[in-house]
Amino acid sequence: MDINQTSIDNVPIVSVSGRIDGNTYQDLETILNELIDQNKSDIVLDLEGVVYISSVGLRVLLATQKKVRPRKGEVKLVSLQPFVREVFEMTGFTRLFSIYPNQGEALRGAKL
Amino acid sequence: MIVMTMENEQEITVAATIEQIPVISDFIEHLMSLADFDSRKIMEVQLALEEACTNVAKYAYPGKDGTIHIVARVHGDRLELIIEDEGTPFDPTSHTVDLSQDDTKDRPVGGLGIHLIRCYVDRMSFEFRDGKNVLTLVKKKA
Repeated sequence: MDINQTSIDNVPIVSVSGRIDGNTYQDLETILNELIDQNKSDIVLDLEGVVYISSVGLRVLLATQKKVRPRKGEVKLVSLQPFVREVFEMTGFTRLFSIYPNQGEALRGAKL
Repeated sequence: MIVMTMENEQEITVAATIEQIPVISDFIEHLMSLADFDSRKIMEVQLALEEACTNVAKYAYPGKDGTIHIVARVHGDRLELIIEDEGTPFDPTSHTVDLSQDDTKDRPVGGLGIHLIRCYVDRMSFEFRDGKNVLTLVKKKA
């Protein structure tokens, strides 16, 4: 798994590629927790390059969402690939996250 | 360690740790590719198997080392996986998770793995036999 971190207008954008599984989830968890510690509210998570996610990855995303919600923030997901989207649908996660086709749409209305 | 037992059957024994998940994923990918399962079915089985083995790694052997033994067998258009451990008795087929909450704060963080196993295999059964948890998963090719 590769993770690339940028920001636009002070909104963090985390782009992930590869597999988010039991062996890699901690790298993503570390980066998301760092953003929480920096008091970020909205986080854009671009999953265009992610072909596989297991429950440990889902837990990281849910835990992050639970942390930013009280700040009126949101984890915004971008570009879910077919298998990942199906896993989200199977687990009801599509109801817990806003999902956008591209980063531009996700950034529209994001809080600084 | 991977052991070839028959043409369409392989088995592997690994330490019951999260770090072994890639080894298990590679093992099943290799076998399913040889048996002409498509890449999507392979990914579905990798997910089910990862979830099953993650549960063993996290909960079966509290405070001690243990192993996971997997037998993978292809019969015609069916893959059968038998996942064994000698840890704390645990029947995953008896567990359900409530996924109905739309509010993030009400959503339980655990329990998703067993739900995903159910979603991605055609049959899941469990027995506690000779001091072992024996979980059997079946996946059809089509």
